[in-house]
Amino acid sequence: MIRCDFCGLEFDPACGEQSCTGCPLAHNCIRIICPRCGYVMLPEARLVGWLRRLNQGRRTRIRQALEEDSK
Amino acid sequence: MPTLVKPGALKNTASSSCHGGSQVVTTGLPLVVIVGSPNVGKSVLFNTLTGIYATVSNYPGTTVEVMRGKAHFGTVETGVMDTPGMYSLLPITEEERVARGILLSEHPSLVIHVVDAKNLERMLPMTLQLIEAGLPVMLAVNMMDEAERLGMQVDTWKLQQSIGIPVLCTALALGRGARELKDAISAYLSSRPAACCALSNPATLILYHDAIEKALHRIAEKLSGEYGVSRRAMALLLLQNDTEVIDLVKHQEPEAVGAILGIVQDTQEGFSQPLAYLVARQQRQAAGRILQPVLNQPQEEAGGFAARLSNAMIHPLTGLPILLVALFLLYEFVGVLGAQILVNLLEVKLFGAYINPWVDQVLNHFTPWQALRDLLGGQFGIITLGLRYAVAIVLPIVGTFFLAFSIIEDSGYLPRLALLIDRVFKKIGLNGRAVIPMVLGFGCDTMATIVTRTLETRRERLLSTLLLSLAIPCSAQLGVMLALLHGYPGLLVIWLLVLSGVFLLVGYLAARLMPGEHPTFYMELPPLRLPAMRNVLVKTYTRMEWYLREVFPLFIIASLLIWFGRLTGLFDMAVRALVPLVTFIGLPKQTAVAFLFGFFRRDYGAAGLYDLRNTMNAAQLLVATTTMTLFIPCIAQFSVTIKERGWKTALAIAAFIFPFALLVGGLLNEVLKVMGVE
Repeated sequence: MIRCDFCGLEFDPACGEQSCTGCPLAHNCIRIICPRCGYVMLPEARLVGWLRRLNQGRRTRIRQALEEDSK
Repeated sequence: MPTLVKPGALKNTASSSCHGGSQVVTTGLPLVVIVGSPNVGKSVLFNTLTGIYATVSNYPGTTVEVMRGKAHFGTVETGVMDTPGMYSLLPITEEERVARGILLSEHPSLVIHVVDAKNLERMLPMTLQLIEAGLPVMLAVNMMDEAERLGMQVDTWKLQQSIGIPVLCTALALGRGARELKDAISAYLSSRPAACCALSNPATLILYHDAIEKALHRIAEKLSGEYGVSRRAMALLLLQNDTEVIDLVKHQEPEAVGAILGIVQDTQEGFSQPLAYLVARQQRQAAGRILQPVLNQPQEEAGGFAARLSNAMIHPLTGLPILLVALFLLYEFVGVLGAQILVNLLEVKLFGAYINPWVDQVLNHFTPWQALRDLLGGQFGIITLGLRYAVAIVLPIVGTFFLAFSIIEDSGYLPRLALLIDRVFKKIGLNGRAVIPMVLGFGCDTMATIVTRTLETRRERLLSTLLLSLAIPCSAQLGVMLALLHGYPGLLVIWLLVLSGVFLLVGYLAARLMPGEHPTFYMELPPLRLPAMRNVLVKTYTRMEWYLREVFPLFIIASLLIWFGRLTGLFDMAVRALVPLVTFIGLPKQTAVAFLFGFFRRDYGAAGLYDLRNTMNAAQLLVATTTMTLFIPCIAQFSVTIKERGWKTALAIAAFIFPFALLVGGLLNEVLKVMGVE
């Protein structure tokens, strides 16, 4: 789920893509359009996603280590 | 011709199966239609009811997808349709038109309106519209789990009594309430196979202004056709100037249309605000009145700082100064951090001192061919010009602009700006909804041009496209312009005044040339909040990455074209052709090159002006920035305009803008001369 930066609607990005129906750029376009207000947003950059996953992995490892210590 | 279709037409158009099965044929079966705003759980309900038996197909004559499946309620086999998201019976988008078309043409035995419990107040007006339309409605108040977490409670019994239809609370994503809903559908279908809603008296749910009520009666009396909804609902849509419904009535009973449109016009003359706005307002008031004893939610602090600031941002007296302060902070931020610190570091210290001399040195040493040396280095080379413009001038300025824009965006200021500007826009024939593409235009005019399709009327779409092409600078261009004018706040004010004046004047004149209806606009305001630094940084990085991906290749292509133009002599010819024009507006001859770059991309042209900033005095700087801001749209925007509005319109816009930009620049130059500004 992502939140529209303009009207605050929370929606599934797949739902936003439906708004692009008929757009000449639709096949190569990465932008997400809010289904309520039409505001255009960009999906998370790859690097950001990679860093997020990295951070999550680090947190998981720390949690596992703490759990093992407590055992 | 109206796009409404006959019942059963849909099954013939099924194009793909969602689950790999054969097409579902539901002809002759009672039909349950699921409606509601996007993202309220319609598809979850559809899957709950139909299981795996579903087909996805395009609605006839459109590219909008609808889902159709089968379900059993007790012994009754029914067809089930999941419709595209809709917010109102008065459609704005193609998806809403399709959903409304299904309600009007498919004669459903039951319409399940799924709403988000958290936003019940905003969504209940559509329930009232459906009841008013005489449709057999059931209300599913979904996402109750989320509402309860926020401390909200819904008195289902009282709500049911107030609106006279079955109401069920569900949390379908968790499976909560699904069984009760199925039982309720089963009971509803077995007791009332395909009748209109008889549980309530729809006419008393919403009482409009006396003049509107009278008009509704008069219009309803004139209607005799079969439309799938009540005559009162048809009259209401006609009163709100719904062009599709007007076409439908014209088609069915052409003799009545003239008198009906006369009633609509007479009624509108009695009000200063559009009827659609008045009707929507009264529907919202009715929903609020109904929900008062029904909805129990934690009260927000009404007089808190956020609420007061929010109101101040919307009110013209306080909103305008706040806007000017925001712009000034943006100007200082981009001007100091972007233009002075970062550009100085990258352009002067990195490219000027190291990269460009090194590239020229290497090329001179290892390449005997002058053409190759010119391609990569020298005055207009791919590295020494294209890469330098993209990385050392545009990127730092655009990056700081994106950072500031992300802060503004994350704070929730933009929708308040939309409401503030709505009044001005109405004067020139646009509404606040058009502020969305305009705001987007400050990011990228190309995608903003695409977004103009969400505007209600063709006239609005055309006006917005023209104004975007003319007077809304994209982020890169705006950033470079702010950087160019940095240190001259007086020039910035004049630049802003000229641009605003051009925007309003051209918008006003174009609206007079293209008369038409003035659409209405209202929107829910999300809360104001302190921007979260993590969000801001992620958004800024994402935008910068996207911008580099899009712009970098274009700057390289531009450098290639310049190289080719210089080889063939076309570049010098074009520059010579532009010299009289730039001297006409009082600029140095060298700026002709920057304006030639501007034909390719306006930010490329702006970067060219930035490169020449030391050759111009203050007045010339102002004339150059103003003319470049108004200059013709870039290639990407032009191609999208062609696709969205057609060749003729795109060419007409470009043919108007080019001489107009030079004319404004020339006039500004003369005025500055008379005033003795240098």
